[in-house]
Amino acid sequence: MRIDQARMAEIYLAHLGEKKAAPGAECPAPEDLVRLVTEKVGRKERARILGHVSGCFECVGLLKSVLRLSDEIDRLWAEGEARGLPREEPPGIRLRRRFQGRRAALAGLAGAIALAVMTYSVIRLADKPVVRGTGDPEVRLIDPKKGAALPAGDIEFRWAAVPRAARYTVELFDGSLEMLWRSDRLTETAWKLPEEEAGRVLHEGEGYFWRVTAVLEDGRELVSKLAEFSIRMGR
Amino acid sequence: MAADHGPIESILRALAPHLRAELQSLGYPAYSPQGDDLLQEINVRIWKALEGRPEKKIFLGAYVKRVVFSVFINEVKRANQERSQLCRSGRQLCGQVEEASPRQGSKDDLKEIVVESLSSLSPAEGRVLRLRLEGFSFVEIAKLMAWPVRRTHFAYYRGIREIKKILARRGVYYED
Repeated sequence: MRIDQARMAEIYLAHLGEKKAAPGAECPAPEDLVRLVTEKVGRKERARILGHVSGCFECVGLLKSVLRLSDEIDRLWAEGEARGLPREEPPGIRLRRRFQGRRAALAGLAGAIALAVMTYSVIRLADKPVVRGTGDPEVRLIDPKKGAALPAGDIEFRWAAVPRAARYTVELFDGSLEMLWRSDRLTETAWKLPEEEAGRVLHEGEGYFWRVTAVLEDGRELVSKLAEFSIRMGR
Repeated sequence: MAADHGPIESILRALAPHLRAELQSLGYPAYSPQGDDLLQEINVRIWKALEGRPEKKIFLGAYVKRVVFSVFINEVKRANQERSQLCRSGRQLCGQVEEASPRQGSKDDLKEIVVESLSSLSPAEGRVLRLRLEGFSFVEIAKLMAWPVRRTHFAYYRGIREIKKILARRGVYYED
């Protein structure tokens, strides 16, 4: 068997015509059909009404009439507007425009708040003092330099002065970072290893490390990096 | 005031024959032989409203539409009531489902297949397809479904594709 759209429409309309009856209690009220065409109707209600209409011969006819009348009124009104009637928008568009206006106002407000927050953040950042590094001074070792080779009897440790430093301590380590010697509390920024101590702890050809700890006036300690030096062979 | 009413009156005068024609196409007689009573009723209701509440002028078009449909609905309801009374007294106007008539072979089979196939479609697509078969245009269906026309087209063609398969399974071939 073969069928096309026209034949299917014919068959379906004939089927609807056969079950045609006087408008019954199950048919939506004519007001509902008018609302479906002229106003906003909720999704569920729309589905309910159209579900019935698409299978009811009576309601199909009535709905078609409502659609035609609505179009005719719109057409006549548009012609009337051209002849001087007040121009107006359908209620749906008015409502949508009102909401669009509110939405635009809300978006504008949100934008203004975001802009204010960003401006405030930028101002706060600009007010903050620029801090480079940690803010604490560091202990910079001057001599013996890293990798220097020195005679055992002539070792003088020197470092840069640290602001607000109350005292310093010099520490000497062997190659395996075992502490060999620690100085007394020093107030100068240089210290010479006593010759007898140098002869006892330092050996020719070996490598050693040293560092300085500065104790600040507020009691905090600043420790320098380790610097390596070696003892030259032959005095 | 009378000068303001001129364009509205001319619109209503132009509308009245359409209103009567629609009622008659639905099988409802327009009650006055001249059909002037409908127009008269619409006129009276609009002027009463306008004189009582001038702010209605702002949305006059929407208000006129509402009044026209209200009169139309009253007329439909009145006719429906009359028809129901006739149905109760005798059954000739109701067109109730006919007595089981002898089956007409393949014609009835085809009808059954088409009706069953339409009811087995998904709700939205079935609805669009049925409305289309009932003679609604795509624009009208889109308006009724509150969809864009494009979406209505898609739903219709999806429905056609689906029903082709269903019909083919039952030995009916749909031709485009």
